[in-house]
Amino acid sequence: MAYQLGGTHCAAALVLLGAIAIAPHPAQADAANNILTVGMGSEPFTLDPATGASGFDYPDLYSLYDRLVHVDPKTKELRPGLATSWRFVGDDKLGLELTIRQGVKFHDGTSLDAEAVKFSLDHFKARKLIADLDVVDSVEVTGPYTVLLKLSQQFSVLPAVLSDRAGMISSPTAIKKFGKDYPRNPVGAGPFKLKQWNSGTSLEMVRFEEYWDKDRIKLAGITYRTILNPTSLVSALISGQIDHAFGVDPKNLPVLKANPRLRVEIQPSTAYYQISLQKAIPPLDNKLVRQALNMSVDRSVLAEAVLGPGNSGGDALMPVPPVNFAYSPELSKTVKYDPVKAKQLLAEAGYPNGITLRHCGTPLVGYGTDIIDIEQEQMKPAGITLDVTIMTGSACLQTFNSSTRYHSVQIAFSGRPDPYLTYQQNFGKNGMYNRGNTDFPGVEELLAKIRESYDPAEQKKYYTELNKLWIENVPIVTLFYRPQFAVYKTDVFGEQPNQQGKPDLTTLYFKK
Amino acid sequence: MRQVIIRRLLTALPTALFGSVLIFLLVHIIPGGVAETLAGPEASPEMVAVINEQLGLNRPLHEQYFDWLGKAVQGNFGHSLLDNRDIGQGIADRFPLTMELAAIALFISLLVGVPLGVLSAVKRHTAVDSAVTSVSGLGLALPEFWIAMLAVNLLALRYTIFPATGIVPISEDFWGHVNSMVMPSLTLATGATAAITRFTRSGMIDALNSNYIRTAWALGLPARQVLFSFALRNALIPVITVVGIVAGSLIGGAVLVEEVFVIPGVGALLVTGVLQKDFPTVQGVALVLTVAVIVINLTVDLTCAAIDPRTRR
Repeated sequence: MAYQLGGTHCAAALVLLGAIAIAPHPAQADAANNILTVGMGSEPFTLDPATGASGFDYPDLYSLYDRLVHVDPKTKELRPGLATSWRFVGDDKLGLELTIRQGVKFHDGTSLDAEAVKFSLDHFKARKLIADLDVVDSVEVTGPYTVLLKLSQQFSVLPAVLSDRAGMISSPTAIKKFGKDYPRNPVGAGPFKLKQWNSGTSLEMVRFEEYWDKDRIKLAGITYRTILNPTSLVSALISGQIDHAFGVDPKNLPVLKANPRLRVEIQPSTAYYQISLQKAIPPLDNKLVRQALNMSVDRSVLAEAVLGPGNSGGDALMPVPPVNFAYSPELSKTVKYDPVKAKQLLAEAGYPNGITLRHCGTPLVGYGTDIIDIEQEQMKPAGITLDVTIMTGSACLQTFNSSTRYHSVQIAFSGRPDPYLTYQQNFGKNGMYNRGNTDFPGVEELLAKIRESYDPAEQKKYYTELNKLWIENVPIVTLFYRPQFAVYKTDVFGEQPNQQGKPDLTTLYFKK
Repeated sequence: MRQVIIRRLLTALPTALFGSVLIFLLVHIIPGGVAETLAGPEASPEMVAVINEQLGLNRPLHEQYFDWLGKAVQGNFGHSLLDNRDIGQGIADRFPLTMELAAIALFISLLVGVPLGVLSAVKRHTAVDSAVTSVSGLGLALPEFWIAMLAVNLLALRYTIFPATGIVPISEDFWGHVNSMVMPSLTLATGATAAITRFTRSGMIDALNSNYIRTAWALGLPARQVLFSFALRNALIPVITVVGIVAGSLIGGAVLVEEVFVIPGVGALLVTGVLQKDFPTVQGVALVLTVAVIVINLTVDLTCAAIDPRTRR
């Protein structure tokens, strides 16, 4: 018996496939029009600087908003931004006077003057989501282009804080006009303005022709493409669909490095991995136990396993990376992996049979199963057992923040615009990440001295003291620094990596 | 026939409602919440409290649920807790793409699966049959995300035939759209094709063994008429029933395929919503998907009734 199955269908299918194969590749990057396509591992929930919290949102924010204060990416010195100058006033230095740059416009045409700055700063404080401006009691307009920030206590690091989210100035017209929808209709005075936000797909930005410092900007536009899946991000890089990506999973670096059309850069960052500790309950209320925990992890081995060989930013015994001025290199090797000594310390603390910690992690690289598996093995000889629960990040944090069910949580910390904030929030008595609100002797005094010191050399001295106290008291177990892993097409230049690892992409350009 | 439709619709309503309560409870049973997500990976208890207050998440659960339901029945799905976007609009923007992907995959699986099943049944116990059976077994066994990664590696990275990620909107460029749909829809279609091949094969074998087919051969009718008019028509009834089930799993499978190929369908909306506990979004999407599956199954039942009078009861 012989049967024929529709030959004509086959022919039609072949013709269709042929047509598909010769069609152009429209999903390629848009370099021909001088538009940079960037692959982003997450999409912002909000582009109002006052309401977002994700470190991933910074490239978008830096494009849309200019800041009162800039940071020189090389020297790390503060430079004039929207504020041309600033000084602390009064004998008690409880005022910061800012002179605002004249002739600057927002994307919607509104003039950026003292009133606009006041409105934007008040808006930031009123949202109550970010603590950066908590010391600012009120903002006063003292002239058309001068504002005075009145402080509740001396706060020498305020100018540095104004180089971050707090210093990103939003258009008062737009905030009033859009109200609750402002986070999706952001209007700043930055070098690029929002053209279109295609939810789940991309954010398209075009150059703002009236930007006050437009000679700095060479691109005609930037398209931020949302690619949530890390493997798909790598595929998009290799196939040339995007010109740049950062925050790339370091395990993929060998493949990307081998590609002649791509350039891989490992840049500094303030981010580090850590184990957060609940110090309100035993056994972690005991300093000796925390010290034992601190020497029960082999940091280099963990870093190599999570980030890949040669990709670590170094062992972290302090909450700031080596490039930061608050880092103390002389203390960087004072704690070594020593489970035998850890076991002795536990016995001394009254736990001769070891301890069990209820530990929460998230199923992501570096936050969960991979790193915790190794930690469990490393801690075993010291007599420390991790009783592990794996949940989503928000579930771990909610439980950790609102109860004492977990002793510890595996997280990564992105760092703060100024080291003072990192120390204050993790180490200070009222620090928001100091679970248990432990009052570490000497810390509050040193923090106050830093707030009241306007000389970096003097501040450095206090930070060294703080670092010694940090290593002695172990408020959290810092593990290793995570550098920024960035990939560029070989015709893309002009990156200005900053110390925070929060990329400002506005200065990139194509060179043929 | 009208009674069948009405009865089906009436049973569908409580199914949808029950689904929405179940989803609501599931989302709330797991710890963690939108506030933690919004406050970021370093959320402090103070920040979380402020956000919960702003979003009205400190109200009793039943109050939140009925508030949502009351608006949903009026066609208002509310706003996302994460980014305050209109959920109805978000679904309307993304749903067509997910349905298109599932429909193309279903079309491919029928186009390939039915002829292969027939071929395999007719040539049963030959090398052709063994080949079809083994390949379809493989198709059922392989997970879609793995096939997707393999396809990207081969057809987008090694040979740059198709784009590695993303979908070109049909309004922008028709052939570009087709081009970008090929890999996702083929990937999604593998499991369904295998299932349909197998069901067609067994249905066809049953039919070919039946008395009326033997009679047809004995009467000397042409092979084309015996196979396609008599055997296939009867063999297709179980296949059509399977299509309803397959269509439901295709919509589910689309979620994973959308993630790998970076397709802005409802899948991405659902995944983010579930992980971040944005329950109005999850419920909105789930409700629309539930209704879609119910409609598909209704269509399938009616098609069966049209083909086979025996099922019209």
